[in-house]
Amino acid sequence: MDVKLRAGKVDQGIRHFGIHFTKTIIRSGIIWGFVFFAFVASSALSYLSIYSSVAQREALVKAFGSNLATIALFGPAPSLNTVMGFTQFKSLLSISIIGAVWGFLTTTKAIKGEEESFRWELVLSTPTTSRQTTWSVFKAVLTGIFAMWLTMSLLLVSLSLDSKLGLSFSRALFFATASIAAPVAFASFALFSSQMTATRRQASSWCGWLLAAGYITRMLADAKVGANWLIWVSPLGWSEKLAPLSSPEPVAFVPVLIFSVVVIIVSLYLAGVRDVGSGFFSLGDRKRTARGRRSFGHLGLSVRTFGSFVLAWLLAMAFTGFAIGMVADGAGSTMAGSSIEGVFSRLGAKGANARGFLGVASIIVGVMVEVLSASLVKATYEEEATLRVEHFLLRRYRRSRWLWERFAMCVAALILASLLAGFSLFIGASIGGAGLSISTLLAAGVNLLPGGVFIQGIAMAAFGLVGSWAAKAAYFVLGWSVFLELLGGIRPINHWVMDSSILHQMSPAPASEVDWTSAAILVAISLGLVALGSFSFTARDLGVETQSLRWESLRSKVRLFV
Amino acid sequence: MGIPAVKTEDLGKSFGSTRALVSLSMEVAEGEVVGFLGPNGAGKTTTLRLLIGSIRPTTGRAEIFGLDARTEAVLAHRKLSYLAGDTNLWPSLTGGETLNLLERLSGRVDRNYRDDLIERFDLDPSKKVRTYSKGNRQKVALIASLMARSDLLILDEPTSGLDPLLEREFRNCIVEAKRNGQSVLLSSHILSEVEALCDRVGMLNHGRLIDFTSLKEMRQLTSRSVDVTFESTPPDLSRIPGVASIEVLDHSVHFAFRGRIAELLDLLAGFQPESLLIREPSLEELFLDLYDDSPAERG
Ligand SMILES: Nc1ncnc2c1ncn2[C@@H]1O[C@H](COP(=O)(O)OP(=O)(O)O)[C@@H](O)[C@H]1O
Ligand SMILES: [Mg+2]
Repeated sequence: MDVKLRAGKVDQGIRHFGIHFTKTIIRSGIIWGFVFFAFVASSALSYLSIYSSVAQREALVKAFGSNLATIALFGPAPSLNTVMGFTQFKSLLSISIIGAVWGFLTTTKAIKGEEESFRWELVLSTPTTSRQTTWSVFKAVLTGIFAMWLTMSLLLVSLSLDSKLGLSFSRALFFATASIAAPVAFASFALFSSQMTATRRQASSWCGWLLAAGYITRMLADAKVGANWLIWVSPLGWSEKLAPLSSPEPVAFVPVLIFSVVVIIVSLYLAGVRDVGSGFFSLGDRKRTARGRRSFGHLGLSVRTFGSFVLAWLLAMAFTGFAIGMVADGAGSTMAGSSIEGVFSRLGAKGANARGFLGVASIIVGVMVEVLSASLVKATYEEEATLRVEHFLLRRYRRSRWLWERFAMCVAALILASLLAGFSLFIGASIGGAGLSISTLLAAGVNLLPGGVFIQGIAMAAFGLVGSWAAKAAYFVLGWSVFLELLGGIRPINHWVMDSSILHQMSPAPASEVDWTSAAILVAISLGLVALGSFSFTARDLGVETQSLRWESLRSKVRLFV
Repeated sequence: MGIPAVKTEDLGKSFGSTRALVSLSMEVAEGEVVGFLGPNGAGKTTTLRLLIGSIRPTTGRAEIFGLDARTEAVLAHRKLSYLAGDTNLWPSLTGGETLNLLERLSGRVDRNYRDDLIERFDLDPSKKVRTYSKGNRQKVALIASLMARSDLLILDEPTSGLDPLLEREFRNCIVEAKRNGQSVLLSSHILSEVEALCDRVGMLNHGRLIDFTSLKEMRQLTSRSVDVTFESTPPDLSRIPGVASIEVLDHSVHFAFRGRIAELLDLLAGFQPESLLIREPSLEELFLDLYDDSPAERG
């Protein structure tokens, strides 16, 4: 971080560290700028090739233009008969969400991550104030966002040279700017939550909450379940209102700016008055004499360390399930007879009604179950990386027992999650008038479980080999599945490829019956994978990246010969 | 003597191309306090982690009370407690909760002794580990490893982060443990600590054991340091056999002596010294002596 020192000599180590730190953020901003651009370009180009005739475009407008189901999920769809109208519909909300997540994770990592690693204290021990340091770290994040904007602008402007796309020079710039509205807003909010909470995880989960609330608020407004003005209280609604490629409303930058500036100023104030390593709002860190002596075992430990994270995630899922359930009836009925039926049926939903809608929309909740699963994997790995696992292994635990207990606790959380998902879909659907029974929707919820369990299985198999592979394997499987599912919505994909998506392995309940046999097979495979992982975990070194060391020694041998 | 508490044969470990430990063969007898001494990166932590079975040896094997450290780890662990070099505690638990958890996991804790330790180390168990200083975290880890009164204590740099007062308290604990018949294997890069506590000291450098002798034997092998003061200009002592590295300051002379003390006294008496001080070499001096041949990279 570009720390300005008022007096004294600059510590070269810290200066060097700061430059490295800013570089990393800029590089990440550029990479995501590329990804977002690729997303936009592929939407635009596929539109040109798939919807080439006027009639096809009219049909598209008829299918999606006022389709509450897709509008609820992806945002409004004006001017679908133009390349840019379609591109905005396809990409703006996704880019805003991913950008928002990038913004807040980058910020909380920069501030809380450094703080937790005590490097912060090293920097603060030089003659700077806490406020200055906080501001210079945040400047690094803003520089990263600027890099993202610059990358997108340059690429989009070059894309605008193709006149077939109808993307003007100014629209290209406006789109790039609109794309960074959410990252700026959420990075600012993350600066605030980092001041308010004690740990990085807490700070990030505050942001996650804001994102979920923002998504649902705009969903209620767009699906006409809630009042129209709701769109203006959602940070994602602001991005949506900007509508850079159809009917731009630059006035929507005003709430983004006001929100960000106010939040940044408040954060900088708080940075000066709080203690490093704790939060302004951290009740948890007060001395607690009464609880200082509580006694618990492995389960209690996990509840203590991860309970609040899991709970927050469960609540977010319940909220999402509820919202999806609520719009199901209206969304399902507008689908009937439109070509979106085709899209949905490619994804496996049969029938244009609330069931059909829920069959596809519950994939969102399914993804949430899997993300929860993957985050729990990461927690398991951290127990090893910090060698805290040794406390167990030195006290009567076999390595396999520890691993299976971890797995069992993660699965218990996933079972809770899937039941809650089904139940909240039911509550929402009942209020929305979809008229589906509780057993149908609970079954649809449980149907989401095997995917989450499979992620655990794959991750534990990888964990047995090298600790740090666990989370990588989990997120790879998850990312690949989501990617295929998104692609599958656009065009038909070879079913062998599609089968490699765990999301595709789940039956689209409640649009169809739950396929309990394949669910059981998926769970059985997962158990086999965990067994494999526990076997190799027993044999390997703890806290040593053996594979990378092998690689290193191999390379040094090769160097001898060359 | 029964089965040794620790026994290693040709124990070695490589991390990729780094040879962290090379062919270590040694024993710790029951009831013995043994120290491993060496600069940072010498291989001390690696040795101790091989003994608890966290990492696999590349060569050789290790036994804890006759049980293979690797294949019979769970049985071996019933007899030992381990203190990690870097404290690895859960930041969101309080110190008290941490001790309770570890007690419950091990199921064999002397509660009175635990409470006694909390008091002696002056630990406030009601605060979260996250808010503890390094020294306080070390206290929690130390109490956790002492409270089970295991037959064997394996302690990796036990006093790092402790202030001198607590360091003394720690020494008392080790003395008690020894009196109690417990065996102790500890590592350190601080010589005075090992000197005060250990019956025997092994010196490690670059993964190799340089020397493993009792302090007594070692001191006899090496020279003593002598200070003599005279009333007037000191005589020339360099011709006395066994005398080396003479330094003269005004009326006093400092030199190193290797040989029989009685002969030296006889010779010195003829020069009418005003005062005489003969010291055994400190471990510091021994250590530097040994490292003169193989310069250590200290971090
Ligand atoms: N997990 C590991 N991966 C790679 N190298 C390691 C690892 N652990 C230790 N080493 C190397 O082994 C050597 C000995 O380390 P260690 O046993 O930690 O030394 P000490 O505890 O005496 O300071 C060092 O050179 C260190 O870099
Ligand atoms: Mg060490």
